[in-house]
Parts: sequence; C-alpha cells; structure tokens
Amino acid sequence: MFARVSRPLVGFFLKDLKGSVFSTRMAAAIAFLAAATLFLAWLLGQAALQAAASGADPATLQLWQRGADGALSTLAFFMPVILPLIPVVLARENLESDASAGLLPLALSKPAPNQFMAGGKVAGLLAALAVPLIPLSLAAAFLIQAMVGEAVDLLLVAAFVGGNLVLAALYLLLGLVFGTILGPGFVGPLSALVWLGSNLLRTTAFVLLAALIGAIRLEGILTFESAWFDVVSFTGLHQGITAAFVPAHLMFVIWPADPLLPQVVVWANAAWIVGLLVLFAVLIAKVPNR
Amino acid sequence: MIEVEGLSKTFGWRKPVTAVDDISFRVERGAMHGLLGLVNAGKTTTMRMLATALKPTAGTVSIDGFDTVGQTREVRKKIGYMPETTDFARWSSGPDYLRFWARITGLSGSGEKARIAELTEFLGIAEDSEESPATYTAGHQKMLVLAQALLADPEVLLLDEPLTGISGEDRAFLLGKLEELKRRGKTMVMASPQLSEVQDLSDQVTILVEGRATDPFPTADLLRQVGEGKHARIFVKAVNLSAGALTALKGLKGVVEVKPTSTVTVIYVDPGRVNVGLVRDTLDAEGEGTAPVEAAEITLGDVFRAIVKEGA
Repeated sequence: MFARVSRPLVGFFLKDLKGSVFSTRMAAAIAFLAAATLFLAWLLGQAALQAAASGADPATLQLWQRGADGALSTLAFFMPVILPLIPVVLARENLESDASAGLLPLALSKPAPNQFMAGGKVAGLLAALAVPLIPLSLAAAFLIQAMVGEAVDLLLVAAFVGGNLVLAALYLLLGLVFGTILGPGFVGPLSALVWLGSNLLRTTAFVLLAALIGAIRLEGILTFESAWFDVVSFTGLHQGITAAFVPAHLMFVIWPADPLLPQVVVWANAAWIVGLLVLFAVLIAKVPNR
Repeated sequence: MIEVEGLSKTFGWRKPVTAVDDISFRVERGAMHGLLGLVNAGKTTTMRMLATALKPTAGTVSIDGFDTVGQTREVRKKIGYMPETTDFARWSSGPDYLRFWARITGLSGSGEKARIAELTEFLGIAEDSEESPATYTAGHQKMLVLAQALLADPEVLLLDEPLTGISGEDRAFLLGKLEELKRRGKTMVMASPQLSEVQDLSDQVTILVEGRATDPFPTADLLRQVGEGKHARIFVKAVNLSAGALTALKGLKGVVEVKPTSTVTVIYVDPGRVNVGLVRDTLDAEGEGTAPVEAAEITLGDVFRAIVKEGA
C-alpha cells in the first residue's frame, strides 16, 4: 500500500527534477535571472556604500541606502518583478514535454492516485527551482554583504530565500494550472497578465489610492507599500512574508497595528499554494478529455 | 472479459466533434479483439476510454465486471496500456523509462529490477539497455512500450497500433511475442490500420470508419466479407463514358456504385461478384472497349462498405 502511494510520487519527483535541471530553455532563464539579480544587488550595494561614505544621518536615508540589510530588503522588493520568469518557463516546458511524450493518458491508466502524481510533479519542479534559486539568493545577499562590508541579518537572508521560493511556487502552480486548463501555449501570456496585475497595476492602484486617502506618506523617506491586506497579488504575498523578518528600523511596509495581520499573509500564501495544488491535481485527469 | 456498450466520445463544446459514435463489442477472457481503422477512425480515442484515461460521453465499458468510470482504480489494476506514440527524448536509457513507469505502476523497489530485467530479456531489448531509447530502432521502441504495459503483469492488454511503423525481423518478432502473450491467456484489444495484422492475431474484429463501427464479427469472416483475391474498387480510366456504358455498369449484379470523377470512373463493387474481366466485357459490349480498366487494392473503406451493405 505504501509503495503504491509513495512510488508514483517519487517517480514523478525524480523525472521532473531531472528533466528540468537539464533543460536548455531553463538554463537561459536562470542565466537571465542570475544576471539581473546580481546586477541589482551590485547597484544596491553601491548605493549603500556611497551613503555610508557620505556620513549622512541614517534616519534621512532611503531604505536601500541603509546598510547591507536595507539593500537586501530593497532587493526583496524587486524580486517579484524578475523572478517569475523561471517558474513560468519551467511550467510551460514541463507541460509541453509531457504532452509531446503522450505521458498523461498513459499515467492516467495506472492505478496511482492522481493527487500523488500531481504532488510528485510539483515537488520535483519545485526542487528544480530550488536548485538555482537558493544559491542565487544567497549569492545576492553575500554580494551585498561583501560590498557594504557589514554582515546581513541572517533571519533576513532566510526570509529572502524563503520568500523567493514561495513566490516561485506560486507562479509555478499558476503556470501548471493555466497550462493544464488551456494548453502549454497559454502559460506565458496568462502568467504575464498575472505578473502585470501583481506588479504594475497593483503598485499604481496602491499609490493612487494611498495619495487619495492619505494612508501613507509619499514624501520624505520612502516607505514601500503595505502588503498586509494584499493577499490577492503574488507580489503582496511575497512582500508580506519577507517583511515579517525585516528589522523594525528598515521596515519597508507599514507595520500593521494588529499583530495578527502578518499571520494572515502566511496563511494566505499557504492557502494559495494548497488551493492551486488541489486544482492542478483535479485538472490533470481532465486534460485528455479536452 | 471486456464489455463495451454504446460507447461514444465527443470533444469540444462550441463545435463538438464526435470521435467515437456508439461502439459496442465484447471480448472473452483470453481472446484478442481487433479494432481496425484508418487515421481518425476513432481507434486511439476508444483505446483511451478502455484504458480509463478518457471518460466516455455516453455508453459504458466494463473490465472483469468493473466499470471504467465508477471503479477506475480496480480497472487500472487489471490493464496494461500500450499507447501508439511516445517521445523518448527525456529518458536516458530503456531501464530509466521502465523504472519511471514501474514507480507509477506502484511496483515495489525490490520487484522492479527483476521485472525490468525479465521483460527486456523477453522482448529482446536487454542489449540496448544503456542506450537512450530515442536512438532505438522503431521496433525496439515498440518493444520498450510493450514492456511498460507488461510491468504489472496485467490480465488485459490494450495495444494501440503495436506494429505500426516497424517491419522485417522486428515486426515478425513482435508478432510472435503477441501470439505468445495470447497463448499465456492475456485478454487483448489491438487497434490497427492494417488488415493483415488484425487478420493474423485477432479472434474478432470491429471496423471503425470516422468514429462509426461495424458490428463485431469473427476474423475468419473478414476474408469472406471482402472476397479473397478479388478487388473492391475498379477504376476505368476514361472520363466521359457513354450513358449506355454507365447504365450497363450500374446494372451489373454486385456493382454498388458507379462514380465518374474528373480523371477516372470508379466502380465500387461487392467483392466476389464483380471483377475486372466482367467490367471489361461490359465496356466492350457498350463500345468502350479501349478504356483501360484497373483494380485497386482492397482498402478498409472497401471492407467497411461491403460489410455495411451486407448488414443493411
């Protein structure tokens, strides 16, 4: 019984991990992300370094000028803009590959439960994402640390890495769900729409709304938008989860008065991931009927 | 035992396309049933519904009394499915491919290795083991997919065009293995576009044309249906046959249809009743004796037409 349940999971995990790690398109996407992340880290490190050299009062400085922690917090803010490329490419490539191999109809003729096949696939793909993302996130943090010449808060580094993995998981699942419903060709365009909504539209809406109701100061020291109530856009979820670990003097979101609110973001992330995973497992059996 | 009753499948909702329309047949334990049809006849859709990978729009399939929709898990334990096409690019070796499917099938880790070795030996692909299956010959790729279907030693084998694309020794070898599996008591359904394949292996045949099917009939009747050594279509290479000649041809007993096209006149005949000589004699009598007359090979369409007409 245990083998019947666990071995399909392991089978898909290993197949999708191996298949993704050796993919050329993935390699190109990872190279792009690595270049963009390290370049941003270098720019932010430079800004922090120059601010330190100027001897200005830290309280008057922008977030990214406030030492290594400030630079890393700012980098975390930019990750939702550049990171989604990898999970979206991976989801599309994986679904295309499965379709061309005629894998699903054959897999569905096996006694393994669909949810274990879906779980193994998602776990394998997440592992494939973690392979480049963890070292890259650490490399960016330590590049900033090396440039600025001061240690980065380890909890902040852990939140940065964890937040990036959660964000990647969200976009991966979204890509898998879109691709399963409409075909692999739709993964890119539909994910791009979510990316636009989660970044440009969300930010624009927030700034306009905030200016109208005077919810945040838009002058002086820059305070990034609040993420606590933003459990719909993936950027909000990423910022919310990272912000919980940012030292108070570097807070880049408005800290909520209600101490339960940060937990809402964590639960919202979990709900999104579980919800999309369940949806994907259900949809898998529908693919050949399309 | 397999029982298929009124099986239909329609794809799409805005412009629905019926891929399979009201198919029924029954396969006794240990027998092989042939599904004969050309491209887009509905063979793969039917096989996928039998394999529980597709849900029928209407009708039922039961395997050993288990319904493929309501008792999917039980059915899946009994079947081995060999799909028509597989892309091997992602697999590093034949055993790598089989290991993956052994895991999905739920074979235990200890049983997996021995079973893979046994099957690769049985199907003559053990020596290819370290090669990427993408580099295997077409025949060995088919053996590998058959090995996948046999991993759990299923009672029922669903084979979608197992012999398509292979020839020579590989074909003869695989045919021999399928015969051996039949002798071992496997119940099989085999889809094929080739008359000869079905003729050699199957006990019963259902012919599919554009999703519609004939009633199943014994394979031994296949030759009787089409008329051994006769031809079902006869071409008269003349564009403007006289009205008298056309009428005379239509009047022949056994002529189903006379169809002038822009290049030839096609005569559809009941095999066994009309042959080239009779057509030539008729044209001679009508003063069209110079028109060249040729017979075409028997096609599935001819067989289908002959069978449908007989049943009408």
